[in-house]
Amino acid sequence: MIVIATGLTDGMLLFLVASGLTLILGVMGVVNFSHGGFFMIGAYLGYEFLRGRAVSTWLFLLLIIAASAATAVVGLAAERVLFRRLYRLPEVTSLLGTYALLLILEGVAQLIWGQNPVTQPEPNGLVRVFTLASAQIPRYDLLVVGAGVVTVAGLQLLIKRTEFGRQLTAVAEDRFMAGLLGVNVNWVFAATFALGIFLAGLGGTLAGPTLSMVPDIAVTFILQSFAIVIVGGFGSVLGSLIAALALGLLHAYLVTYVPSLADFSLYLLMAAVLVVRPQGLLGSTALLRETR
Amino acid sequence: MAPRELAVRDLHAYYGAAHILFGIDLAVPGGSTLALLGRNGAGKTTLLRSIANAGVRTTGSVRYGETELRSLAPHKAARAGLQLVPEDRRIFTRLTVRENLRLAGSGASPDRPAVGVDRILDLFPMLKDLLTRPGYALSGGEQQLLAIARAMVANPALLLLDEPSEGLAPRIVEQVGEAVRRLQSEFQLTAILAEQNTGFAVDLADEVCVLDGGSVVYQGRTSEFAAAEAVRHRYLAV
Ligand SMILES: Nc1ncnc2c1ncn2[C@@H]1O[C@H](COP(=O)(O)OP(=O)(O)OP(=O)(O)O)[C@@H](O)[C@H]1O
Ligand SMILES: [Mg+2]
Repeated sequence: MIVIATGLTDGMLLFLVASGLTLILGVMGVVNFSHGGFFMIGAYLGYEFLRGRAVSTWLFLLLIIAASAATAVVGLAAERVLFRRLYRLPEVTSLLGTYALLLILEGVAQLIWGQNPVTQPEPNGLVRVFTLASAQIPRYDLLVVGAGVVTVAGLQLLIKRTEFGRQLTAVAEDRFMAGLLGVNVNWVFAATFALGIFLAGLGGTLAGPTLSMVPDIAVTFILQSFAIVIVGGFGSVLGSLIAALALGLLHAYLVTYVPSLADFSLYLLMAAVLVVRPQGLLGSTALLRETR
Repeated sequence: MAPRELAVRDLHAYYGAAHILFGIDLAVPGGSTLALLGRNGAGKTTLLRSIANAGVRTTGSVRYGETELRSLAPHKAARAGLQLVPEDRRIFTRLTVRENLRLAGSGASPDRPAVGVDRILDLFPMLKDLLTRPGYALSGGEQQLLAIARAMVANPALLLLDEPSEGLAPRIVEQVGEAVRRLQSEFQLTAILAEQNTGFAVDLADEVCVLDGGSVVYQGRTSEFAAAEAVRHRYLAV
């Protein structure tokens, strides 16, 4: 039981970060190395908004949403200044550009919050554990998994059922034609970016109480998230979900039963999936071609 | 609002350093249809893309009524009443037929509100059974009809069709022709129909323009074109 709970919780956090990454890649064709930077900014902003205090669960939720929105605002500024220039350029350039931004975000975090770890306690109501099938499961895990489920459902509704979702899907496939039909492509890019960074921020704020925060978490998270995007299939939110949960569960299982292999869980998962489906679990090769 | 005149003046077009169109002058009176003819590589597609300001560098002027289209981003040109149906149709494969149609609603302009999908379906009855079909599962003819129907949802005042008959069986070409004729009678629009299929285009048009090597080599009323045997032999594949 505890293995499953830990696995799902880690997996959901990973999913939140990876879903934004895969959206930005799928719609704009930009490999956003700085995504982990926004995850880290989200974690610190959550800490600032909560002031490192333990608060009630509802206030906690409210403040982490506010902190995620604040992260998205930082993201929008970066979109205007940097990313807007990258959409038309080759991947190598966007890799370099977003990597540079990652370093800048880390530097800024060091200036503001320093190298010493800071910690954010969990909300009051959720510090204790509850018992399920004789396993002691942290209540906070429930909150993370719940937030992940709500996010998945929200994203699916947004993409499949709304005008914005249609525009996003169209721009991802063929921005030229979408523009000719009257879709404001730049607006869709900005909104998608903001959404992706909001999700990174949400991942960061939710991860806050489970981490000791240092600016370096920007880098640790980004590699795993990229692996999730590759395994799930570029641009596929559901693919990212499956891949993230699978990785979380695999890692939790190995930590408990085969600790010597735990550090390799990422590579095991990637190798296993990519041998069978090089385009990723739910990836379409068409998308790869279209986004160039 | 009534369709206006499209006036192209001294238009030059370039892809990178390649100079493709050489000083095009062209006027399409409001509410009329122009057949734009010419061989492969004559510059028809480039001219339509230049008018729509879509991926071509241009100099000169392209005015639709009072509006200079050359200075408008594509989505703004759409909202000023322009729709281009490209020769490769570009149906969104991951959206259904209905979603493809609804997407074009964002291209409607304030003075010509979007046309309801239901009204469009009355003009393109064969799309009715395909509404939930994803774009990737359509035949070439279905894609072409959807591409035209989709543009019409935006209620354009200026419609540019790039080789709508290309690659279609004769029976489907007839259906496309029928659809265009209904559009001309039910909507007020100025249209350009680029075609290699001379008979098909001339049947639907009021005026004819022939391009060759990036320049206009003939322009006249459809009735006069019938007599212009020499032009047809020299510039069009027979
Ligand atoms: N992207 C491009 N880069 C460079 N040259 C191009 C490009 N696209 C077209 N051309 C050239 O521009 C010229 C005009 O091409 P265009 O596509 O406008 O002709 P067309 O009349 O539409 O031909 P078709 O009937 O085959 O569609 C051709 O010589 C073509 O080779
Ligand atoms: Mg052409």
